Amino acid sequence: MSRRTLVPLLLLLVVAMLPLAVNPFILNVFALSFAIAVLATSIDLTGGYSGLMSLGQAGIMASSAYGVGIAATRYGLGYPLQILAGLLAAIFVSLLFGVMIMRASGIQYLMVTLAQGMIVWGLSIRMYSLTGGENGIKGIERPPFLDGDIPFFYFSLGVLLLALLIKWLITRSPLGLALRGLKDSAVRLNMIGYNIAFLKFYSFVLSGALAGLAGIILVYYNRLISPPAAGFTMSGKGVLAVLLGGIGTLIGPVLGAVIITYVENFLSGYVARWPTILGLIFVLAVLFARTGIIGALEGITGRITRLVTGRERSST
Amino acid sequence: MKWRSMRLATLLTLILAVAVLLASCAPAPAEEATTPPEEEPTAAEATADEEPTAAEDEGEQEMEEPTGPITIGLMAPYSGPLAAAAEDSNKGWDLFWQLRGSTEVAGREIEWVTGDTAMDPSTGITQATALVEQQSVDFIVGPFVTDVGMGVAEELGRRGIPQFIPILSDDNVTMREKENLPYTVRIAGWNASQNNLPYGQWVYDQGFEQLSTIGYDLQFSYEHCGSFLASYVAAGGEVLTQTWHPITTEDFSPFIAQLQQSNPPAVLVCNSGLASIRFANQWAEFGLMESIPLFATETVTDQSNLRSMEDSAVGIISSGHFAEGRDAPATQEFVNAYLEEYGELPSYFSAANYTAAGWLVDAIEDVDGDISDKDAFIAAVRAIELEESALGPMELDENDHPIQDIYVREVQVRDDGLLWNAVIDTFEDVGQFWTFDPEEYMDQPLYSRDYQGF
Repeated sequence: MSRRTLVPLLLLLVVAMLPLAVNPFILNVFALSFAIAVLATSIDLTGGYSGLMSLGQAGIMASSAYGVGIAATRYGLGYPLQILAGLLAAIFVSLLFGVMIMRASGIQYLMVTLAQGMIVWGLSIRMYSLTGGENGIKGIERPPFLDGDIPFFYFSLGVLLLALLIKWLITRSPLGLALRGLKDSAVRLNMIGYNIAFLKFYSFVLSGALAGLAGIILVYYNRLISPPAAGFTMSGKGVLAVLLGGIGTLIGPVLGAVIITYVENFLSGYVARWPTILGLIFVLAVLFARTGIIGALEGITGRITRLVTGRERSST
Repeated sequence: MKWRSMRLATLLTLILAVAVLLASCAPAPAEEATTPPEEEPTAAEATADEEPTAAEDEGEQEMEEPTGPITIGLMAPYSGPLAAAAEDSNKGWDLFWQLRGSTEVAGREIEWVTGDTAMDPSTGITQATALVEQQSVDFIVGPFVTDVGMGVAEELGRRGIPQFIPILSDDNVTMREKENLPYTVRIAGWNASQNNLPYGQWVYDQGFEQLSTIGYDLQFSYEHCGSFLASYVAAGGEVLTQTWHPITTEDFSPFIAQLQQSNPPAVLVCNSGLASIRFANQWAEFGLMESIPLFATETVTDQSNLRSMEDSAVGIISSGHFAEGRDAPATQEFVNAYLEEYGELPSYFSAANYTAAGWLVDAIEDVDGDISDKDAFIAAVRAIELEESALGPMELDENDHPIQDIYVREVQVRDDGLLWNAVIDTFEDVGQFWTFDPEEYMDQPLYSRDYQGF
């Protein structure tokens, strides 16, 4: 087994064993960070591979969470239907905005996605008969078998793995290759005969569906949904997780999301100026690890291997 | 290779520098959080956990009175737009212990740790579990905002941890949602209806039979305007126009022009924070302070805003459960001590946590420091009746909401040039439904842009 598969598997094993070792709070932080990780994964699907970074992905995530909330509290639907309603809501919103981003690129793309996030955020505040305004929708119960810190931890881990699997399959498919092509040279891709507009639309909806998964973790974690989940701060958190962890990698966004959520929730108990620390981490990442933490780690391990092999050579 | 190692060295120095920097600027309460010895809280927790079964099994266990520290979790949005208010609430809390001179209550040391909700429900809920599971807090005071407050309240209810909310002013916590939140008690707090129901009647009684309103296009203002209008319209008043502005409004001139069009005899302002400061200052710049009287809700002329308002704000009338100009020894003692300590007058955020701290001390003393039985402790908290406090006399109703005096306040200039809210009229012993029937009041829909109490 190569290192590339061994390391993630070991990491997964450690994470899966966590409930044996840590208190419920740490488990909760991880469960929440997995929601952000799925959000970051969905952003990275378009942002990392085709270079089209979305600044409003939290809007889609929140649509899914609102879908669950409305299905649960207004219509009293069962859990499978709630989740289905959530995913459909996310896909519906991404279809809507997917049409708008078809011909956008660069800064236009950023602006349209930013607007999309703000629209969902604005609607969540203004359509109070449906969304409860800033008070949000509360009283969304978790499925009984997820009621508890440990089961929910495994649920969110499961959803994260599902999202990673989907992303892994996509990036290895011809679609994934086309997405890379989109980043490298859209014009050339067009010349070969790819429909670029459709490619953008298709990948946007796929990443929207992944964001929908994130919304499902989030809504069951909080048992309520309110506008901050759709706000720019949340979208920004997702984008920063991608940049911090390593853009265009499978594990990178997850790592970034875990670090951000951890700093936010753990360090804030000890250091009042935790946003400063988060900022410093970003500054350091930009200064010393431009390819994200994963990129830096690969660089370091590469250097160590070279050092070790170099010594071996000199000794023989 | 050499260049690379130099870069590594720079990185290391930077990290070290940052560590030193952060260690030196960590504030006092946060440091306290790190210091409590590991064994004692866990020991207290262990006895708390075993209590129900152990107490039944043998009387011996009961003899062992808990002696470790009581840990309180303070939750507030210490980062984000409400950070200054959160800071104020901590100042009030700290001042109480400073004036008391000791943090020992009924033989037990009181310690507190803070949790930053960052105005986000996910963060709030996670912080609540952090305080409960990581810091083993015995109960929680806070947080502020409705959605965060609700999320935290439900989470704490599930974990069986009492929660006290001196600042969160949402109606529903002690109205429609109360039955779901048995562990949430509003001590030294207030809500929109309690403040504004008597106020609506009062404004009508002053001879203002028509008025227009302006407030945030947000639930907060719908609730404050709505509860005011519920009694104002019931008394016979008429609303000319209702203007809602975005929370980020900087230039109020279009809204002021809109208000002028209806030519109202008076205007009710129901926003808060920066928006209130900007609105009041621009209203004065338009020269309208003289011609159209401003009536405000509590948060508009709260001391946290008055500090930044110009003298033109003098004369604005508002209602409040706290009035720093209240001419009573309990209030003035607090106000003067606060002024001396921090160089400014206290806001309601400070007064709320100051009073809450005293309330909790009384309750802990009533149970002799044994708060392991949460239900008994909450019962003790409910039984407290403050004959006098910085906020005035207070006791809880059956919905765990304080019955207290509501003051009609006017902004006046003190001798030292500072602005404050002086009391010009008092409604005594006001409940959250005032004279309205609780059942009927809760049956009406939630206040919204469409439903404004009439």
